[in-house]
Amino acid sequence: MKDVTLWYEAFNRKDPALLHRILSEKWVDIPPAPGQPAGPEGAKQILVELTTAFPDLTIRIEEVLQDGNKVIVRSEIAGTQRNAFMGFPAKNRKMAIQAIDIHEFKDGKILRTWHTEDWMTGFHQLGIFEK
Amino acid sequence: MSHIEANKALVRRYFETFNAGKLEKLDEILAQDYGDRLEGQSAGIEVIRSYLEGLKASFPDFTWTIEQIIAEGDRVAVMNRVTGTHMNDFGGMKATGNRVDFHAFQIYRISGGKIADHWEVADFARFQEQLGAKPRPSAFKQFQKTLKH
Repeated sequence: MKDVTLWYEAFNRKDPALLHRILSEKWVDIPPAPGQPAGPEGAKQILVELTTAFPDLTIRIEEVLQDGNKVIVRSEIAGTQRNAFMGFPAKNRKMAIQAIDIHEFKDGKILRTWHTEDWMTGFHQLGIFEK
Repeated sequence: MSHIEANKALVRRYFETFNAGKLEKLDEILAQDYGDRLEGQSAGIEVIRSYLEGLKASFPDFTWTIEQIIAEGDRVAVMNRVTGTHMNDFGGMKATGNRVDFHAFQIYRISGGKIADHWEVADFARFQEQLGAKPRPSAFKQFQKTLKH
């Protein structure tokens, strides 16, 4: 189940094919982004949106814990905003924020992911609240 | 009880103690040099005590509900719901009476039978939205600043 790193490598390598290797066809993202398609297609859309907004995006794994069929990953998401993100124009600022994900595995693939990222800090770093 | 189960029990006790507002009991649960890695937060049991007292003062019914608890080695991870009513001023924001309900993720390191370190990622964007604030420097950051003497 430590194959969970494939999820993070997919973003670092900008390779959506890795998502299909690790996600179940029935994968559920909790909570989903607004308008996110169901299943692995939704993950692919997030990967494209994030790596378009932040072409130098890196997700660094800080800690991995496992308990039964669940794996928890604490990571740092970093990048420079070069294109619009969630409707906010790029100010070419860098962000580095914390994230924690819980992945539930079934038959060697991720069936459900619960997650939170510190976007509040990210929005400040990107200058989104500045006039 | 295995040490994994004992660690989970300690974290559950921490949540119950906060929910009951019995913050004088924190010394039985948290290490004196409790290391809080939450963005903008500093270490020490008195810092966390004043932080939690501040939350309870603004949201007297503030409640942490454990939805998932997961442990390995000396770590315990929690996904919890945070609910409460904004009854008194918070971070420079006048009381709105609004109800907040959002998720947070915690990882605790246990050492010598106490919680020694804490990492947290909470959905503060949703929290801010539920307080009805326009996007601006967050009330949460303001609140943290008021704690620094």
